[in-house]
Amino acid sequence: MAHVSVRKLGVAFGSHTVLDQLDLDVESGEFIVLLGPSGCGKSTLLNAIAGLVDIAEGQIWIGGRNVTWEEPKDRGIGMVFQSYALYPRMTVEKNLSFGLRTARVPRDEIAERIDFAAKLLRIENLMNRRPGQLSGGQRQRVAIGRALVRRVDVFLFDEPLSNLDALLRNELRIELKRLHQELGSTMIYVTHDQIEALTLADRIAVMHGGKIQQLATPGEVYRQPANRFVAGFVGSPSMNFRKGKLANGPGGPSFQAEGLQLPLAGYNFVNGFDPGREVELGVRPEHVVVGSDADREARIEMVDPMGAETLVWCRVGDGLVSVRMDGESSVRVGETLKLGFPPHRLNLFDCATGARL
Amino acid sequence: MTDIAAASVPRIASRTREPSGPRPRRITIGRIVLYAILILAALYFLMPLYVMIVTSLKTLAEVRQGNIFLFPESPSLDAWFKAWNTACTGLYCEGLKVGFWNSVKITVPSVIVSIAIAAVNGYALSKWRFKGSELFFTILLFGAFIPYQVMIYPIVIILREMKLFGTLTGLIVVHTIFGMPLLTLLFRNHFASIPMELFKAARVDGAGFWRILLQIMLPMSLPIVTVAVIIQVTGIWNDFLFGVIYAGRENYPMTVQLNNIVNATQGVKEYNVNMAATILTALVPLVIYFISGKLFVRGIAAGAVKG
Amino acid sequence: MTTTSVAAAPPSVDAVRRPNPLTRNLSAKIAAVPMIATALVIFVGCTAWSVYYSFTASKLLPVNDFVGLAQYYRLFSTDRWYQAMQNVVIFGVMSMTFSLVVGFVLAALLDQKIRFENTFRTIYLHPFAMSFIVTGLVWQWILTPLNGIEKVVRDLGWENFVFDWLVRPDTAIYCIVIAGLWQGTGLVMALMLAGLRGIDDEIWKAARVDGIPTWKTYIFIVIPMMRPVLVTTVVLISTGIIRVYDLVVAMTNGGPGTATDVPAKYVINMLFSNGNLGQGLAASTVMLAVVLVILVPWSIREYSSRAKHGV
Repeated sequence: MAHVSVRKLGVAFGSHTVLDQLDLDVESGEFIVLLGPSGCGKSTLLNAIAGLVDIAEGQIWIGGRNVTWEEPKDRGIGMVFQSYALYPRMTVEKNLSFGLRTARVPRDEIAERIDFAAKLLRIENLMNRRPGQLSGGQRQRVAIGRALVRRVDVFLFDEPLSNLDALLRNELRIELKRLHQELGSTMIYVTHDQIEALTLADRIAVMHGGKIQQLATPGEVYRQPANRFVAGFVGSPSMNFRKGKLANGPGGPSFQAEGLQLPLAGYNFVNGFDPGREVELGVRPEHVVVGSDADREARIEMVDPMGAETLVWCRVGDGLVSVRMDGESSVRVGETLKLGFPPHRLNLFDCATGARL
Repeated sequence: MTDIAAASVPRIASRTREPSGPRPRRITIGRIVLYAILILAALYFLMPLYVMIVTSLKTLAEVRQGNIFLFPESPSLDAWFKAWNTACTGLYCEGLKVGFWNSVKITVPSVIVSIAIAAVNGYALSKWRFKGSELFFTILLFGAFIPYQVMIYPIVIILREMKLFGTLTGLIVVHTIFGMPLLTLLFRNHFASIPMELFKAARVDGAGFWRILLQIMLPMSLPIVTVAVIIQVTGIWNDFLFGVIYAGRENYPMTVQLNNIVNATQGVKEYNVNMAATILTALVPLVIYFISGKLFVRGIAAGAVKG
Repeated sequence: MTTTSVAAAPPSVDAVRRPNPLTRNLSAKIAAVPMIATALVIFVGCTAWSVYYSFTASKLLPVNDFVGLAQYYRLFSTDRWYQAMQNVVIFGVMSMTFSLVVGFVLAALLDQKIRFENTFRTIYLHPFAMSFIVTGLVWQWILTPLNGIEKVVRDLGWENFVFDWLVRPDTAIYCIVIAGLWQGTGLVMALMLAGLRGIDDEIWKAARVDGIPTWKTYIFIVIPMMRPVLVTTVVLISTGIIRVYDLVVAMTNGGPGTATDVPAKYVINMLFSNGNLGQGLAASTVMLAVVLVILVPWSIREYSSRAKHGV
């Protein structure tokens, strides 16, 4: 009942087109994350769904209703903002009830809803405080509470954790997940932080340049990135890339680059194999095999200890490749490692279009 | 992508059409009322300017017969010439031009001196704090609020002792004194926003107080100096009280002479000449205002929102 | 500045000469002399002088004849002074109220994403560029009976319309108010607009999602948030009000009679025309007291809140 559908949406600011012919379908009860760098259009998309931004073309459907021309308050949404946007001169209780009182909701129902939200978010003892007297985490909870009391089925989050420090961010992230499980509402969440996206989302919409680059589960986005951008954006430490060509040979398809030839037998080509094509190869640091049964030697040039793991940079061909190793391993610059690149772990992207091959 | 312009043509939202694209832009009553209020207010604010100009372009007979809002039948600048050249300001009838040049003689040096000193003050306060500097600055700021009337008489005595009472120099000193609080605040805030690192680097390079100010800080400060100039020119040109008390009869600024022309003449009141004189007096700051627009507003905001 | 020492050798106090605290930053201190002189001699010194001599029997020249509060008693039993005080209160209350309300309304309207915002703002603010003398004279002309507004309305048909507020003792002060409002409202509007623009956009969005109508958002959310700006504006307006002089001189010269006299004019008259220093200084001290009553609580609040927030 809380299905959200965006159809052929176009949004422009002046002569600058931000979104063009964008389609998105969010299942009822789904937690979908709009992930992307600044300027990719994710906030604009969220604001368009909310009705806070004028759209140039397209339609927005929420809960089976065409809400394209509706005011935000009539769309059945609640929204949480990056800066919490709590009314500074009102107590928490007034913040939560102001919208309801304006809508002439009966007093006892207001009290009931506030009670429910307060218990769920554990803010019962903050009712008489002002936002200025609350910590960042508490403020964010109150902001969520303000959306909760609206009894809506769709929640919109605009980078709600960006203003919090790392510790609080982790805490609240878990809270949000718990909230989603308890309420079962549809949640559309905007962030530039891929950790948030990967942990919270049922599906992720990776956005760039006003377009959805890939819409898939976190696992798929991570393991089968649909294009060069998604591959480079998602994953930390980031994927290794090398440009080269596809070639055919006695052993089957292979990847040819300066100082690096990799057999591609077993690689799952989406549209068939096309020898001679210029491609970019991607492989995640944790997918590079290290060990005696690997087939090439590489000299270590840099070692980055990162606690639980160590990132080792090795020279392969005319560039460096980062390899993830266990934090306990004691490798040193100048030593050689044996590296292997299993074809089913590789990602190939067309140099011209960036699309996955 | 459809043409945004075409898509924003207001449509009639009929029940049979599916909502899509931009919201139909209903020209609401609210919007009309809003613009109406703003336009009415604008007319009200412009009205005196209009009356001034229109009256000054009429002949005296026309002024007497018609009313203040009527347009002149055959506009002429006669009243303007009269105001400038022959209007009577007390004993002499040499027109406003005397006052104009007096005002120039008062304003230009006052602006230069007051800004120079305030800039140095602001610079010293923000980058070279020394013991008591903040205290003095606070006193200075308080002084900006003290009504002038409290300090006027003792200043007369001081200037008399220094043989500066009734002279141009005396008036310049007075303008510098009373311009100091606001301008110092302005410059202090401005210099404070220049990173300390820049300043420290210069000191490490061996530069001293004056050299840093003249060669590094000032070249970066053109906008704020412009704002300060605008504020001071407007304030000093429009001043009346200090001019009438400290300037001395030969040096009366334009505002004082204007008041004399209009209020102190006996006999027939030449309203068109009066209005012409009024416009001439208002002209300099008004022109500066309309030219500098945004800077003026920023200057006021800077002065009003104290620190 | 500490002395350097090597190993365990006892530090020699004369190893490095401490800079004399007085000569440190000498250039800065010299450069600040005008400011220090102004602050001390003029602002503090002259004020103290005036207050002191208000307790003497000075007439044409300052004398050291101490008479306690006699000048004040005399002052407060003078009708003209009462008239002046009453006028400045009327002027003050009306100016403050109208300029705050009108200024805020205009600012709120301008904040609604309208076209020609800059033009409107320039128009509303332009009176500020004019001298009070200019303002006073123009409005004197506009409000003058027989030739001004009265004539306009009569020409439109209402033959018997009378508008002689300017020359009637009991209404002349309102003409001063009208002129003052014309000059000052633009400034209040500019300050309010700056305050409005400082409101976070997301507050507006949150209110919109909550379904709060625009007017309610202004009254219950935005205005309470603008408290610092409002307070500053009020303080500024009040200090301006107590000083009003040029406007009165130009428009009515205190008349008719002394009907539009204001404290500032009373002081100047006593000091320079009537040769009564004692009265003039007493009156100016009263003015000072009023300003301090407004200023001191405000600045204490400002500075303490700044200390709290570390600004």
